[in-house]
Amino acid sequence: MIELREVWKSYIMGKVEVNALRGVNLQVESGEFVVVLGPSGCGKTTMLNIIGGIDRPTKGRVIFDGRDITDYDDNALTMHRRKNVGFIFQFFNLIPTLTARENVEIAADLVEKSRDVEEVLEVVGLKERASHFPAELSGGEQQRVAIARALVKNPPIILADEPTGSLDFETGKAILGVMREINVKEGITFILVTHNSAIAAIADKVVYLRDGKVERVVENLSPVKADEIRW
Amino acid sequence: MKSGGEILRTKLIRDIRTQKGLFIATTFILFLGVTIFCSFYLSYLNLHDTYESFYESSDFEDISVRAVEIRNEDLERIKKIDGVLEVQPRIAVHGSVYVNGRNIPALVISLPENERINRLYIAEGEKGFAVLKKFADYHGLTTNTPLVVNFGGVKYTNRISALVYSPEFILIFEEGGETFTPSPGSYAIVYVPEDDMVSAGMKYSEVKVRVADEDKKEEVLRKILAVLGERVEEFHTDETQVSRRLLKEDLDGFQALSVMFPAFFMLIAIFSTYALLSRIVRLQMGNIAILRAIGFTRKEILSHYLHYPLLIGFFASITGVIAGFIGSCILTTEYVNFLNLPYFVSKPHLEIYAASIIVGTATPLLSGLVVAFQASRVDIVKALRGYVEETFSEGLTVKFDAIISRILRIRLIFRTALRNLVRNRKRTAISLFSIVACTSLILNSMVFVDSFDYVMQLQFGKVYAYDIKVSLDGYDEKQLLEEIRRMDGVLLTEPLVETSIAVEKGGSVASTLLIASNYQNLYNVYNADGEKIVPGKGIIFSKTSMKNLSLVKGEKVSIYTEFGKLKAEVGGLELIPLLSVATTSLDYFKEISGVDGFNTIVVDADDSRIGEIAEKIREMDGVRKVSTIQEAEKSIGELMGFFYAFITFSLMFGASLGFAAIFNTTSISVIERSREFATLRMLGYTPREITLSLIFESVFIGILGLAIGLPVAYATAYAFFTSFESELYYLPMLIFPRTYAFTVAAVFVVVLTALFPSTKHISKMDIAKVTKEVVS
Repeated sequence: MIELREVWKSYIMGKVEVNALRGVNLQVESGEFVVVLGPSGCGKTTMLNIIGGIDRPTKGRVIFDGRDITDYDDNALTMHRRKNVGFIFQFFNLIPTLTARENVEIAADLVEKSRDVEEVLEVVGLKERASHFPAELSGGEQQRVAIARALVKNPPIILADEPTGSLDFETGKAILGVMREINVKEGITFILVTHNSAIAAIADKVVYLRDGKVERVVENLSPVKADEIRW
Repeated sequence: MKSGGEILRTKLIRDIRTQKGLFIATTFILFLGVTIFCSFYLSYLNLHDTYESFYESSDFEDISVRAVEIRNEDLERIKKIDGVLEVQPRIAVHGSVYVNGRNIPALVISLPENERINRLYIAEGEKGFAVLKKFADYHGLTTNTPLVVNFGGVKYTNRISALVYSPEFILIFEEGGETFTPSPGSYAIVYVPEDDMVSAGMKYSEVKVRVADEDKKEEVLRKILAVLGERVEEFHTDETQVSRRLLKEDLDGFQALSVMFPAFFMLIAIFSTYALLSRIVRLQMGNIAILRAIGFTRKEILSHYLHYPLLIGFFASITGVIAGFIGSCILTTEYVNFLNLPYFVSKPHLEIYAASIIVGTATPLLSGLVVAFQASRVDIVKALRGYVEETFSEGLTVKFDAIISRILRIRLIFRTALRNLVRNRKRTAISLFSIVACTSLILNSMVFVDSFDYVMQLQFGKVYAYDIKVSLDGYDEKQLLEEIRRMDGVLLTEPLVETSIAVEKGGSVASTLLIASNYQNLYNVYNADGEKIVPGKGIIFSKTSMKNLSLVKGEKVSIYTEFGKLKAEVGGLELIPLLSVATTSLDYFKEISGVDGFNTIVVDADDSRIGEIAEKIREMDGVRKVSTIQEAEKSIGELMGFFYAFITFSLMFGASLGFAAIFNTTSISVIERSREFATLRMLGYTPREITLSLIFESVFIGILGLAIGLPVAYATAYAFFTSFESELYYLPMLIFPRTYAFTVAAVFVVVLTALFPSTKHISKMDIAKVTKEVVS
């Protein structure tokens, strides 16, 4: 489904060129739950952003569902994000002036065949709190709204960047459980990046990233349930 | 190693650099305010000092009385009146000057050997036969140029001895004429040595008096009027002398403008500084907490955040004062050039520079104090968590939004725009206030254009239905009327009386121009509502010019005329636009004055022959002045140049203020919502869709601002017009629909242009970076 071929990403920081990715090769199959593990600054988020189409590689190719999106212009990338990608962030990034339901609706509004908003809110367990504004929701609830927002567009893939980073242990586990359940039940591909190695246990595939390179890829033949992991 | 203070100063400079657009916008608003205040107030003071200096150095009259004839025994009696310091009689008659092949109407005044009152300022040459410098410059006359002057049936030829300025004619007002400030091309003031005029058989017609005690001026005036009795034609004191009174009214307007206009800018600057500083403090909440945590005191934090407005204020004030000084020089020079003044006085007026710097610095400082105080009181523990959640809860807004969305069926992204209006109410209020101020400034400038346009259309479209106006040397020229009537190309003629009168009631006096006509075909008088006034019995007066006399219809009043003191009935009171003329029928004029005749003929002529006919009439004996409507329109056009320059200036300031203020609030709002816009972009919204939602928000705020701004602008324009009301002229306040349309369009142009940099920010934003930033 996704293929990164010799992907490089360089930034100019002041007068220094920093290589965030150095020839990353990766293949993610449809319906997989992939966890990308690595320390801070290893290039996890950069890789996620390139897959999601909010950043472009300096070198290499990015293939999404057989289409090469490497040379897409801004408009084409926007359409790629609109149709194919759902995002979940550490800081939720909800619109504070919209209720939980409306935060989901604003994403649903973008695609022709979106999922039913109420149904999606039920999937993430937030139907009862749908009329509340983000400021009236807990961190866990806000992240559920973010998941629902990603889900409602019915994308083939959801990218999650440290989704448990701002949550306490129990809430974090619950969120991971929701994501895994969606992955299993609905077959949506998930790529989750984190520095928390404990999360790797729930993945189908674990990608270890170090210094902008894929160190190794481990297939997890017996992933555990989210409520079984500890950190 | 740098001290804490030095580090904070470095931080200050760097903060300003990163937000330079917003700092520049706020500083610019304040700069405009200081510049306008400084340039206008300094110009006002310069002009005030100039006038006073000229009046003082020329021993300006305290009292002036014109009478049918002033005899030597009258002068002796006046000199003996208690409190009289100086007495100077003079001859002043209407005549004409022959210049460049044509006769130009003139006021011919005798120049005594020993001038004691209203002494002339000699710009070139030596005392003697003199003309005003501006008149000479206009016609290319110099000293020694021979000039022919006609007065009282005498043809006087002499070489010009001097080019002069007179304190009486800083602004020239043609007595008995309708042109407000006639051009040097159409009217002259000429000084002929007194001996020459006396030798020509002329008699004193005016007496100028200076008093020893200002407080006794009115008493002295009454005694002089008693001496001259029924022969009095007109009188005034120094305060009511036309030129001086007009200048004073003008100066008062200038002074009011120099405070009112910058006040708008200062108010906007207060709000803009508040918005900018609030944004900085909000953004730096974590930094403040860290600074407090490592040991910086509240006082140091307060002082640090006060440095931002202090720097804005100081920079705006210093540059504003410099620009204001330059502006005042330009404004004063242009103004003095427009007037008949030999020089201008420019004193240092350090108090104005000091006031500008103090007000310019204190304004943002006071506004910043509130925010800096809040910054110094930050809860360290909460702020260090680095996560300040924005609260937004259910309320009227959402219900309002739901209703709107049901009616308009708009997308959710546009509904968020509506909610943003109540999200930061202070900032919305600032935006609204900026639009209101911008609307007011634009409409207040344009209302003058409309009102002048209306009056000009009325005057030149309806009042003056003639092509040529002929002023005669005297009265009862029936033969002349017949001659003109018989001329080829003349379609219609109408006789008129046009004369200056002064009305007296209860010790108060008001002057006006009386137009007497029986026919009302070629010369009509209209009221402010555009209705034709048809006089019958009595004189219909202008409400404006007579407002201090409380005249009542039907009552009898004393009027001073060129035929002496008469009694007349008040035929009515009307609001008459522009010059405050009074009107009556020729029959009634004959009834009260006993004069069976006219002194003016108005002519309707074949359009293609107007110039030719006017030239022929100019050559006729008994004709003092011939003017055509085209010339009058041209003369008005020359005057309007200065006016339109001022309006353009005012419009530019209004638009700049609006742009700077709205740019500031919009930019802050967009910067604060960067994360939301990045999220929307990440979701798949295009920059165009987000820009459209921002435009929707701006348009909505623009509509709201205009809904408040237009009535406010109307009210301020009305207040402005009322404050400028004068006994000498009346300008009805009118706003044409085109002006509302222009104002609305201008406001939207300003609002949308101010949005432009923000839309660029959205299309160029680093989505990845912004969505990952810690909320603080």
